[in-house]
Amino acid sequence: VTGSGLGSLPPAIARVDCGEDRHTIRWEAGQLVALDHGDPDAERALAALGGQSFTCVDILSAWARARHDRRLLSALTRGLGDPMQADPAHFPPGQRGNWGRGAGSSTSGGRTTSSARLVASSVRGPSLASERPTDDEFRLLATLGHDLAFRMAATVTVHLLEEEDAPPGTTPPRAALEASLWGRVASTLRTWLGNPTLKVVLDVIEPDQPCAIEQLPDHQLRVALPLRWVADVWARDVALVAGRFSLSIIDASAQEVLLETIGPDLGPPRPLRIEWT
Amino acid sequence: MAPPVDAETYLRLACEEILLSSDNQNRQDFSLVAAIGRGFVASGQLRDELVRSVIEEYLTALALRAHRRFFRRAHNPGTPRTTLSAQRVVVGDFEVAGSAARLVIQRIVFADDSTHMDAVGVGAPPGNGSGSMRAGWLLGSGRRPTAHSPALKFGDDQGVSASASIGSWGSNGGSWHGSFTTDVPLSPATAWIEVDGVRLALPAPAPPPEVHRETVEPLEGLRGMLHHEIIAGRSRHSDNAAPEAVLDALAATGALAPDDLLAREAKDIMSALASGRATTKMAEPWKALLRRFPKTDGPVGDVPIGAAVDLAGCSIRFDSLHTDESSFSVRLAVSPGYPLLHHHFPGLAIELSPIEWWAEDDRHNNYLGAGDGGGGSGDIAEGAIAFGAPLDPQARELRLLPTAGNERVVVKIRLDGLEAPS
Repeated sequence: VTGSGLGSLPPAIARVDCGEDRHTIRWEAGQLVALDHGDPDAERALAALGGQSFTCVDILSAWARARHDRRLLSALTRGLGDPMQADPAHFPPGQRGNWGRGAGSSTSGGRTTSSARLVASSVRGPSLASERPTDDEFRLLATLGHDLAFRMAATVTVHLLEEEDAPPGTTPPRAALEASLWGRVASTLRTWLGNPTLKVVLDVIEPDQPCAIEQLPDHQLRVALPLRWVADVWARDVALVAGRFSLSIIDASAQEVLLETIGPDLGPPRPLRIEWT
Repeated sequence: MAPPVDAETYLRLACEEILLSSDNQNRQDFSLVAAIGRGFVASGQLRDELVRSVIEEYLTALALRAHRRFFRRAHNPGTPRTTLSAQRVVVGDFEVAGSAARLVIQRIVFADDSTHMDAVGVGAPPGNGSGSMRAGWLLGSGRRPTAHSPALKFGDDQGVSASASIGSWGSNGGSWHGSFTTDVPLSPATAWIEVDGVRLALPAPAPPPEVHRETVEPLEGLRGMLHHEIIAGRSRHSDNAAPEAVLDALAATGALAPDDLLAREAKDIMSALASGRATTKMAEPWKALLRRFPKTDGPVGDVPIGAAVDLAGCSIRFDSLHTDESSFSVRLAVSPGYPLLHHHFPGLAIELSPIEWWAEDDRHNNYLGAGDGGGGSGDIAEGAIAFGAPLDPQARELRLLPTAGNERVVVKIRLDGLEAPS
């Protein structure tokens, strides 16, 4: 998976309350963009002078800190069976104070409608990216809605896969990636099969090995998937399509995706094409 | 045989399983994950900081899903500590007769800053009579006294006057029990106290118990960790699954073979504790601990203690011993309160309680206690340590042995004046 892999994922948007207005945050190719804001420095200066907090700016600041943080993988949803229901009162304000009223729903495939935009990478001040995200920032990002959460998980996953050889003195991200994969696979399979206590045994395979699901004794399922499944399949929200579980992406473009899928009878995999109109 | 799993991966997968659980109780039961983490640290597989960071990470994730904040630790290192004291403790049934109610003071602790009393009462409902027994408000209905309830007035033979309103309290049917703390301390040398004008003669002060400190050789490494888990688990309300979970985790990650001697020993101890029967080859202190388990011949009564000690950064005030046919308990206060309150939040505590509540008698029996009820704040908690076996009726001395790390305090209690079981 490379940066171009993220580029092949469809954009997604979330609508948030920002000041007195309803604004749009868009994820595209690993970047978050605040579509209704312009010059980041001016926005931040204005916010600081007025003692005001703009949710869009706060989200982008949080994203600048958390976009490569493995902890975001554990914070974000595992899928439909794992709803977020955080109460902001239970999260102390982060270093930057009030995070505003938070987020709302999101929609896939949003398109830019304004030339004024604020990009997360551009709000990364001298110390911002090096600071650890606060719990409140994780809350802010994790409650941005389903589609953005999926794309954000893909972004972190791709980054960690590229840095699997951790620098000296740091913990390799492999364990976090395996846990992220297991959690998202298990949540998906439990939703798919309507069994919330389904036991899932995960074999992490290399990208060039065949993906598979097999039934084990005692109603367990053994699943063989690569770590990139989270970014390639799950993050597109195509892990379950037409009652089938998607094992891998055979081919993908902006208009369509060809999946290798398996039915609930765990029979032979079959290709399934999805076209976006 | 499956290849060993990486320890951090195992820990994270255990967290994922809890996170995805639809059972809210399971979600709250993070104790197993914390225990597994401690096992990985003790076996040298993971650093303590990494375990903490993973658990903190998932506690944040849990809070994002549960409409509530989770306690990250039972102990906040910044919690203030109050130095507790006990100049004299009196136990008994001191009845304060009144026209509308009956009040019985069962325990009086004369401390440096105030006097603490535990009392029970039965009486008429509020408004039914207004005689000299001001505690009449508490009553039969179990209704909570209001903020306007009059305070009890106290006095002693040294001319000290004090007052106290009821603090923590509870009711059961027509009776209530509660505690009072006076605004100024009564004299520990007094021969009597007055409660709302009713004089109560007190027994002569008993000599304070002998107290000293000892150095002990703690069990280190994985063996020590497993023993701590077994001990700590006895204070949990649910079955103690933590040692088994740790053994499973160590086996899955290749740190310990299932038939390893350490694993076998831990399983034998757990099995013996569950059945109450020691095996012939069981080592001490477990063997001596189990000797009294099946008995029901404990002496009956209460013994004042009145000792205050420091241990593991905590101030502990031992108030009294209560014993019956099948068990015994020690009333105490602890500041900061987390060692006593720990069992209220076992699921999310990353650390075990720093204090183990051992005791032994002069008949070579060992006893192991655990927090049982009680309450209070992070500053001071009051409650009891319950010991699940009865005292030996032939024992003349009990030595309380609160132990932390390589140090323990010894509090010697004379077991005089107790009654034989009926």
